Amino acid sequence: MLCAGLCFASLIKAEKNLPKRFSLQVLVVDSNTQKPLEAASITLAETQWHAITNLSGMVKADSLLGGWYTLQCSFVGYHAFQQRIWIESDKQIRIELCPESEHLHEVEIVSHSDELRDYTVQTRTILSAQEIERNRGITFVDQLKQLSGVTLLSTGPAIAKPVIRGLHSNRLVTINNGVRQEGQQWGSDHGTEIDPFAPASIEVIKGAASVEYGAEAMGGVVRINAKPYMDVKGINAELQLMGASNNGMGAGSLQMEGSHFDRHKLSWRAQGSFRKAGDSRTPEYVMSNTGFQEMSGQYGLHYAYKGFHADFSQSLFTTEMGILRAAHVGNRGDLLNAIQLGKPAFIAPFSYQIETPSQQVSHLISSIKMWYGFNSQTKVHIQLSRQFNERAEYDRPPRQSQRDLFNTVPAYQLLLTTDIVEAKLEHQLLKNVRGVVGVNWMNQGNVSEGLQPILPNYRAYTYGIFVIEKWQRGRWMTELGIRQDWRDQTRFIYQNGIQSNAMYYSGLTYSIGAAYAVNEYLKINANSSSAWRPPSINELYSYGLHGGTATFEIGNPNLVPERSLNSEIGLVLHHSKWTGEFNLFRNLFHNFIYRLPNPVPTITIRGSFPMMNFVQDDALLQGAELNLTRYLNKSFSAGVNASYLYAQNTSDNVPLIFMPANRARFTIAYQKEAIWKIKGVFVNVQYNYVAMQSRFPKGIDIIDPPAAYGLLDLNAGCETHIGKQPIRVSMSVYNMLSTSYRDYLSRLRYYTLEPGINFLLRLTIPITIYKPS
Amino acid sequence: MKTTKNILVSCALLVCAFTFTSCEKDDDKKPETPQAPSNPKEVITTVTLLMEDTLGNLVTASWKDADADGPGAPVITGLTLKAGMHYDGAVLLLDESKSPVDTISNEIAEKEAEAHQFFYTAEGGANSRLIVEREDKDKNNQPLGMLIHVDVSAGGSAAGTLKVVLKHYDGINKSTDPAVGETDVEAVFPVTIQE
Repeated sequence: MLCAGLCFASLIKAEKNLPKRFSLQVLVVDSNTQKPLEAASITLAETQWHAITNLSGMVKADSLLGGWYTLQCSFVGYHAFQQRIWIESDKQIRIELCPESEHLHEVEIVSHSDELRDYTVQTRTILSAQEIERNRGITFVDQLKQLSGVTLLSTGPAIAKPVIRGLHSNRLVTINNGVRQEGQQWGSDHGTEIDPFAPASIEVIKGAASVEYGAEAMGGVVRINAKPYMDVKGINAELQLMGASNNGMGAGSLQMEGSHFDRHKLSWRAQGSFRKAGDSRTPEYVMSNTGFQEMSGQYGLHYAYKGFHADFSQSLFTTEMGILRAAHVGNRGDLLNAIQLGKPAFIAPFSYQIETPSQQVSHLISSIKMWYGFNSQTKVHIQLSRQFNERAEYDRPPRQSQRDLFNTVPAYQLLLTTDIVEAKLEHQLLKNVRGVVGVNWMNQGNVSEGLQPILPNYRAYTYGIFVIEKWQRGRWMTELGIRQDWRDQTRFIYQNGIQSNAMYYSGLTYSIGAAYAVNEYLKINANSSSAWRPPSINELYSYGLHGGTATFEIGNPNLVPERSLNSEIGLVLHHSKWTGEFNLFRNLFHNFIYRLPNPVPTITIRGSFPMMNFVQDDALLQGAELNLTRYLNKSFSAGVNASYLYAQNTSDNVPLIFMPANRARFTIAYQKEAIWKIKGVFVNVQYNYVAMQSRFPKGIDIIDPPAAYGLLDLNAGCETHIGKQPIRVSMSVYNMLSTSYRDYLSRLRYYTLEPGINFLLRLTIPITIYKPS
Repeated sequence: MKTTKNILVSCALLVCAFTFTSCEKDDDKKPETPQAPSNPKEVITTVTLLMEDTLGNLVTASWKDADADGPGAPVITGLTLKAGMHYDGAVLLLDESKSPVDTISNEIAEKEAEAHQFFYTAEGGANSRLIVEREDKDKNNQPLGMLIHVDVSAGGSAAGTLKVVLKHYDGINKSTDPAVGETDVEAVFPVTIQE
């Protein structure tokens, strides 16, 4: 958060019981010494409330109604602080004020957080627990659509992955509760394997973040943070239930957490969830075999004593998903027939049944984290993790006699085991220079099985070392980061005995950035970074048939690492009437690796098949993102959110294929702290417009990109009590007008429309099980 | 001292828990020792046309793609027919990647005729010269097309193609429209008509 300086602050809420009125406790400390500041002035602009911190830097406001407040804090000799905060429960906030003499008004609001503070001058956006709860949809990544510059790559309603500024799969890193999630990121039909109930906050870094996160983070990072451990003694639980009309989804999650003892603090949390859904429905027909069934569980234990913390956690995610039955074709001619038909060739009545083609995935992550703060500037972190990712994909048999075989033996099965060891040291070199130095090691092995394995077995070792230093003074902040990575990867195949091919790659990554605060409200940041990525195993060696797109994918063993030079400039505005963000980015690639359908089809016994080859070209991805909200008064706000992307193959001077179309979203929101006995009322209406992708290489894909579309969504919710039990209710209506549309980044666009109207209802019931008096 | 001890004990406990939980899959296969591929899946590698004219002479043609769906090129032997002659024929589908060779067409004829249908299309110079009739039916009295009768009209020499398509109906009804269904086979045979 250092980077984001005055503006972004993670509002991690310590949720407790919901009384009718809430209390707000504020602790003010000096950002350097971390010592409490006595007699700092605190006001809430919307009320007449004003107070002065006590000897221990604390102040408490009682009986606040829920809603938006503008929190202002000032103290002689320090930069003043202002931030809009949302109160919906008792809240504890810590404000770090910066001395005027030293550096930029850099403020943080932090609750009890285990994570390292991040060290980049970059565009990052945080979805808070509340935003997540109100926008929870069919998949985890549905939430990310709200962010400008983020779109989805999908294969039906249950399988989706994020695309950040045109980059996805192997170019994004997902950090799940501090651990880098390693699955089969490469396939467009491999969704992000995350339980939608698990994240308490989601942080998205747009643009290269390779210095801190390694080579694959050249397109960005999606960080999923679990709920922070409880800070106060007691035991709480939270039950969440959710239903969706379109696919008949029922979902629930029960989470429990507790904290015990004073000196040797032991905290824990545990969560279990399930989701089951049937076929989705377009406005015109049922998308047969698009149901899914998911079970997840996780738990964590946290021990703290003085500056020492240890955390052990495990999480398991399992899912079984159907793939649209009609998206299984024999050859290119069949695909053309399917396109001509305009609707799926197989439509059955709605059902929860999952048949082949289908996928089964399980992902188990175990991790131990330990950190120790020698003082407020020096902190050491060590993290060990092991994860198993098992993916099985089942195909449909060409003949009934093969049905048992195809139902029991997957077309391919991949078992990926990844061990990661990371160590980081946060330090302060000079008065104004702070930084982090880190090392990491990763050992990854894949075992492929099945009727027609698409990937070979492999073993990959990755080693990295990095340092990031940050200098801050007055309104300025600059940052410099450098990283070196080595990868040693070997493929093993059986061809008249075991054959192995070893490949060795190494590369340097660096980034430089600066931020300047123009005034209290406006900050400018700019950064430039050069990142590299070695070709991944699938790009080098994949070999197999994709039934859904009637393509045969062949890796290219001659690929060399790609390199990018990413530059961006951003403006961040945080005013009580206006908030917003504007970013311009330009990402230049040398040897950009991508899939390109070969326009000359290959002749097989099933007729002609297009080959999908991996090719390398120089490329340019540049664009802009705008995010602006105007608070009209206490209740009403209006906002716009737009993203533009220009992606060009600069070697051949043609557009890059399969890039997200430009889009904009307009929102009108209403919020009221209380209407009669109902609290925290909110309603918002959104219109999402997605333009047609007019920039694509002509004649390569079998059809041109689909037409532009606009969707209307509605979200609403409130908090109330049933007896003494507080309860939060929210609902969403997606695609309210049941618009028929197809999306360019949906792999099923050849066969089917996207889902029609979907009504979602969510209930959250916080339960206090034990609270010491 | 006590603090250090406590920290050490808790670390040790956590490490034990971790080691314990992460050992369960260690006995699994290692990436370094890939198994020899054993493919129990049937693939059609070869389409053979067997034709007998009214004089009892046998004519054959074959379309063979050893790597089935893979990028390898097929080996094709065309069909040579006589102008003005009539032929009775059969199509044979083989999986030559298996030993012994698996005759997939027998399996289709015996067990799955209702879910399959062959289509024949004469193109190019053969278009106006060949009439292909499908002789056999499935249990529902729908055409199967594994047995055919071919009439070659009288006239001069010509060259064209005969496209053999096998459609597979998975959960949908058999149709006379060749666009319906999944394609299992699409083999184009060169045809030479001799005067």
